[in-house]
Amino acid sequence: MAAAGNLLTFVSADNVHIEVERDVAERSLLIKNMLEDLGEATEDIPIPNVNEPVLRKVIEWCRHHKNDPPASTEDEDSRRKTTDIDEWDQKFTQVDQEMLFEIILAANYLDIKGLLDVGCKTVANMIKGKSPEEIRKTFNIQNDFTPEEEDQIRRENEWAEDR
Amino acid sequence: MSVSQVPPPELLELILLQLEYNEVFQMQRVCCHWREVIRHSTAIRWTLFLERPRWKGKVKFNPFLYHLGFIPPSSSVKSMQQFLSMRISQPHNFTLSPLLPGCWRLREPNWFTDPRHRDIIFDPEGSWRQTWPVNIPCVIEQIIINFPGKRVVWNGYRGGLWVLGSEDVGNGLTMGRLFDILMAFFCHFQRETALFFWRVRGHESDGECTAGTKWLKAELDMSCMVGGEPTELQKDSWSVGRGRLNLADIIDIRDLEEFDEWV
Repeated sequence: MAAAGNLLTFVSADNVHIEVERDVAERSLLIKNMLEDLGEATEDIPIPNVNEPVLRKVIEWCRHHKNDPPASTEDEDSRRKTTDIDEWDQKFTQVDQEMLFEIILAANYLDIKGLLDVGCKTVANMIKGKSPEEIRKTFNIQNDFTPEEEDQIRRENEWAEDR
Repeated sequence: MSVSQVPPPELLELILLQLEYNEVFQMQRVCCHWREVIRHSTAIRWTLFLERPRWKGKVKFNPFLYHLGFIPPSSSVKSMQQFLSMRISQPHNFTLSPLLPGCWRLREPNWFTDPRHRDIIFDPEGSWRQTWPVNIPCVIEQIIINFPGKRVVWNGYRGGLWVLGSEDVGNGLTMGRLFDILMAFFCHFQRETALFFWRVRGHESDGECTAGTKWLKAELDMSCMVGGEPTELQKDSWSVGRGRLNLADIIDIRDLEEFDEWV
């Protein structure tokens, strides 16, 4: 029910038009800065590189988080310590890996710090507590070390293994 | 299942930055690409203490020091100053030194008691040896070691300065080198326990470190490092993993002052 002037239109990479409230769209610093430069945006805003399903997910996140306080310049320690993700975001990130990576890429491109953090933390949680073998399986990564190389790296970093 | 499920390269750094210190070292084993990102990302190298950040930030100790039990857990220490003024409020690996009030004494971290664990940690090839002890440079001006019945003083300004956390190749002390020096002192004097005092001066214009001279202090019991019975200690040599060290190779022994009694 936003006033007409508060509605923007995003155009996804696959040329789908999606209407977005201005305050939702402004969760993206890229869009926010662009709107500030333009003043009044009357034309469609192309979002290249982001396809419709991904763009819809990103907008969904922005809509839910539109009233969040702006990203503080918290020091890196407190940010790193909180690997916990709030419940809504946890549900939100329950998508297949490809979608998850595309959401993170879109968040990176659109400069949506909160979403980027949530995405990276979600992937980091998939890594935590796993052995390198398990990680390769999880992300479908080829082990391209020679046995000698792998043995060397294992030895160098064995001290870091158990806690 | 999709073909390309590897995290895109531009995201891998951001993702790895969410992991803990030791986890990142481990992730080098996944594949060549991950290893390259970890080795070459400046942001990651900062968090691993492999490189110093360019900005002036808070004094931070290498998390590996906490793991070894040399300093209290990270959450409780915000600055060098706070570290020095701390008393034993968290039992963790520490207990009050019976020798000197207000000093730390290690209470058997796991590498003390488990020889296998110890060998892994002190493997000369361990990657922690390349890391910096602190995130900003601190000059070691003086080391005072109180062994039972003997006090040894080394003055940095006479024998050349060691700098914790400096990129200076000649004088910069990595974790590995710091540890080698500790071991060499123990070995040279054929002792297993000691109170260590490091007088450390912050690099000019580096925040909290600047306010004059600070002391780092720790009581260390290294009897477990002998690799057998303490009687097997050989003069002038100490075996850590496969490495052997002479104190004379590290410092000019003439710079050491010895006193029979504690002052």
